[in-house]
Amino acid sequence: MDKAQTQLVPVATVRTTSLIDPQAESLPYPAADPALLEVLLQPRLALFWGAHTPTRTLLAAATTLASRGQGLRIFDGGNRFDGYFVARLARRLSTDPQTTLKHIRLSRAFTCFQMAELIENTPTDLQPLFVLDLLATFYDESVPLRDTERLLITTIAHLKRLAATGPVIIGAREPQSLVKDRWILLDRLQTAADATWLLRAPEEIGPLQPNLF
Amino acid sequence: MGRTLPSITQTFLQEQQSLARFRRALRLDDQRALDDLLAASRHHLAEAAYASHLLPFEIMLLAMLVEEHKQVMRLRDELETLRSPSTSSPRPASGGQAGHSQEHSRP
Amino acid sequence: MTELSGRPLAIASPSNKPTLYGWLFDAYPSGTGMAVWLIDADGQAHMFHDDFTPVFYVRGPRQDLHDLCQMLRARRAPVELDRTERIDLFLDRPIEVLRVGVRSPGLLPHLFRLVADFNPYLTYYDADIPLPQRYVLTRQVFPLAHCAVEHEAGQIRHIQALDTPWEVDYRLPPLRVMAMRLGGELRNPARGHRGDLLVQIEGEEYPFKREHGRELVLGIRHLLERHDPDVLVTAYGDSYLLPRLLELSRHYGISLPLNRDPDQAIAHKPARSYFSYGRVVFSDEQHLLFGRWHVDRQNAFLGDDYGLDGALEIARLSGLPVQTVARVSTGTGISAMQVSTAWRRGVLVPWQKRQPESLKTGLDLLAADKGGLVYAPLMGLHEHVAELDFTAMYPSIMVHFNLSPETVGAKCCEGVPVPELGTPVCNHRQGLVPETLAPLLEKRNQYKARIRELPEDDPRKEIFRRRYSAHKWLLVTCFGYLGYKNARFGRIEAHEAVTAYGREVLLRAKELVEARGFRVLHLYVDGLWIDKPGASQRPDYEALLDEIRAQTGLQIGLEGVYRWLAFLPSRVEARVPVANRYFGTFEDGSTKVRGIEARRHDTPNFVRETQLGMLAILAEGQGVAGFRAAVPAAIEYAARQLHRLRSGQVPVRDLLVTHRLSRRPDEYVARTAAARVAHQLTQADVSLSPGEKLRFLLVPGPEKARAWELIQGEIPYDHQAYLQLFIRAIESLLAPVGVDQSTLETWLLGQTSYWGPVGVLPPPGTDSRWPLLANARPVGAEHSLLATSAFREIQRECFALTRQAA
Repeated sequence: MDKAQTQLVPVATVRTTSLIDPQAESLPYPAADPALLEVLLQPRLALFWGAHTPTRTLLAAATTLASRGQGLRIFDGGNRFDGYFVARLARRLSTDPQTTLKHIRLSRAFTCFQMAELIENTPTDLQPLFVLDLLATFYDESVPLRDTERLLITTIAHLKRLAATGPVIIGAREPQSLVKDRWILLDRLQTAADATWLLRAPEEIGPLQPNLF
Repeated sequence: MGRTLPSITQTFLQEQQSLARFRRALRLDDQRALDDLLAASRHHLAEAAYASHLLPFEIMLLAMLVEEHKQVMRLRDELETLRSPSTSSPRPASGGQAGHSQEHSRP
Repeated sequence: MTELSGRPLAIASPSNKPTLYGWLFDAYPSGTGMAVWLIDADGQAHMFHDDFTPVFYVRGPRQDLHDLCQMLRARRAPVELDRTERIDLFLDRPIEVLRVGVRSPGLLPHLFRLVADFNPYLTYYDADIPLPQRYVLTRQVFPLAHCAVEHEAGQIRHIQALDTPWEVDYRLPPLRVMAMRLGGELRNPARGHRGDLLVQIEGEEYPFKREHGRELVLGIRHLLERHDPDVLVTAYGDSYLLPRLLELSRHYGISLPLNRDPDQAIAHKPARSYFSYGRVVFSDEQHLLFGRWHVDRQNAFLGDDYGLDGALEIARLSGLPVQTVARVSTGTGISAMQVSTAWRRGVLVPWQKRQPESLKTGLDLLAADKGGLVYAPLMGLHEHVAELDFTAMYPSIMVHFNLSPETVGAKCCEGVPVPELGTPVCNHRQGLVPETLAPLLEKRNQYKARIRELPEDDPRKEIFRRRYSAHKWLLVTCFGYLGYKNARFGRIEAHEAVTAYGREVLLRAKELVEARGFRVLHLYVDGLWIDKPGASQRPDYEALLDEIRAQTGLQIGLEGVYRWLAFLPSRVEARVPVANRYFGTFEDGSTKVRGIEARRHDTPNFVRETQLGMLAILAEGQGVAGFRAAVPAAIEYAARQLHRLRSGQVPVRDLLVTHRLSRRPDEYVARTAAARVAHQLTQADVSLSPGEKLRFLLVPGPEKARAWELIQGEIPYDHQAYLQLFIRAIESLLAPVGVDQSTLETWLLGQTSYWGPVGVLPPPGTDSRWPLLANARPVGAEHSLLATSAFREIQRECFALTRQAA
């Protein structure tokens, strides 16, 4: 698999963004960056991952696109679709947040089988597909690793099928300490992606005031 | 219980946090007034949740207004009572402590 | 009343074969069928064998199914293969499936694994239903059913249940119980506690010294053989006693007949920690017996409420074995009951839940993803407040409005739209979940009625209470299982429909209540707290309840009328009320407490005892005035408790703080008390898993806290820390009348008061930051003399207090 464009771009998470504005909830970098949005709209499999799943970042990107009239699908594997966040952002980006929200069609999956079913059955489309926290349901210990791994392989094949026609943007996080043996799942996803971004928390911001002397 | 949207309490607290700079710049007395308003809005969390309004902040403002107006109505009644004690009729007050009226009691 | 079997209940017709009458006690795989144990009316246990072929189903393309059959035949697997039709719940029609019958039930898990690995892309059904449940469903019996068994040469020819799980008052077999625990304090031996083994049976207690391992094993064996108990009840049997006994047995080469069935080894399930709804849950290891029940009181989901009686009731209803029921949450029971309903209907039970949510817009989600209505109550102390509660609201809604995974959003008929969401709900056939729940609701009502009728001294009253409690638990968990990821038939749309109806029903009730002049003090999912001038007796509410019932179609009852009721503010923000922190006294003197220290799991016993003791005194007061008048007596009690605390008289075990580990001990960063304790135990070679409970004492000095298991006898405790907890707990009770921490400290530590004798409340409007201002006079010419003397008095007071505090 060609990993030509594996980029490790440290991107700030939503909460702290700049020195000037340590507490406000301003637009997270990725969604504010038009170049990145352009890149995201190519038909390809893009993966954002980190210690924590970059849901806010992806939601912001999805909302930005939706506010421009772009219809899109969101499959939520981590039960994290923050509708209020999307609505607030939509209101800032347009005067009609209702329509923006209507452009977003979503479905929540609570088991990896549901997630697999969603991805397998969704038709190829030019519309972007966002998958939030794809691996959360695959980390569920009540399903044996070999079953989830096998399922993931099939799911990845379908994701690639979809990515051939329209953009597929995936968010995933590392497995928690209780399920360390599931790293293999994240590895497979990273290998399959055409482009990968790692999200890191920013370093501690220094004091606001520069020293006088 | 596996809910997807953040709770209304969290949402209100987020809105409150987004007002941090405004609050910081206010004078001390004004800050206290704002804090009262923010606390007042939290008396109507359930109603706000039920409303499913796109922008919870708008409901938050309305909740503040409702509480504010209730205070006005209460004060109006108290004023009337003070002015003409013979014609007043007691309204059931809401129980509470400092910040609201004293605890509710009935003969 | 639903009968489990479709046949009329009749005594087995006479035949040549002998018939045993007894209660179904245990069933597990053995050879080509199941080993089945029954206990007769004399308490004698009988074991039979019953040939049994459990099945699972496979759906897929013909060729794939064909290949599967080939594979199984090539391996000479002991299976029976044929094609049949079963109903898919969501397609609502029969589909063709391959039926695979496994002639040796014990091989089913292994064989199924083989098949699923061979072709994971087929769809499998009825694959992971526990064998004991399969057996009872197929034979149309249930655990502890009274049965007539025709048998021949140890084989069951025919088994028939003579009663049903729906009977309220049923006979149980006489059971011999052997109890086993370590002597001394009830502490977790896995954390270092050691003691002699105490065994109780048939009224006698037998101690065994732990140093004499051989005698111990021989002794236990002797007792088991002589008394042949049906049930072994232990404390820490799962995690310590049984493993240790087995170890000793192996070490000395002396067999221990813990199982009645000598051909079976004890079933062992390892401990594990897992995530559930964002929390870490710890499931301890299990040791299960065959032909005999092992119940570990320390590892039982007995809800402290329903005990063994409740567990037996759940076993009868769910078809799950008693040992399982005692250990798992009631959700598993409800899930099993849904499987039973599916089975009876010929509906396939999916193995891996694949049915995803249908696509909805972001806007739809905002409207649908709400829970129950949780209001902010009107803070403070109120009187003559009525609490109205909908009876088992969510299950009743599911039954009344026919909400089930396959009915919500169904396209088979026009249906009835869900309020707020508009989703159509099928109304021309009863859903699977409503069909499962309806008889449960009915039976719960029957128990409730019986409990009310029976006199206090009737021994059945307590048993019925426990069974009723089990029903309450079952019904409470059934809602969660509607949307739960592991629920076989769960669907989020159904879950959302239920909460939508819940909100609608509560709001309608609120409107009706307000239309009749009542004021709504609080609303909480399925309950309303209301008052109205002049309304204080039960009859005042009858008309209202009738109207709510008529308008909503649901049962609503009057929980009680409070003499007084306090809604508390948030701990962090005193101006903001909190939905679930309140306490009050009903007209009959009983109290209801939510959210305060006495109800919290982490509170030390001493603090709980103090709070409840004070509450009992305050409960004597009639109305708000009575509450206020009772405060001095409550404070007096608190002062006595405080004296005990400060003079070191409180035993260590009443001061233990409980804390649930949220992560592994080595993952703690901050040196909190819990982290320190976890570290101590780890140093003492105790292994701890996330989700396990820690109990510890707050101790003075740099140590800060010590694990309970590492404490011998009575040791000094951190007075200051416990004083804090003590004062906070009292503050919770008295905050509604304006008593805060500083006032409490003045009363209890200063043993004095600004407003008269200790306990007399400050005048209304007093700010406790400047308490003496209440006594101050305005300074004007005519008052200057008073002002001066008042000022001097204040001076003197302050001086006295300062001296006292020093």
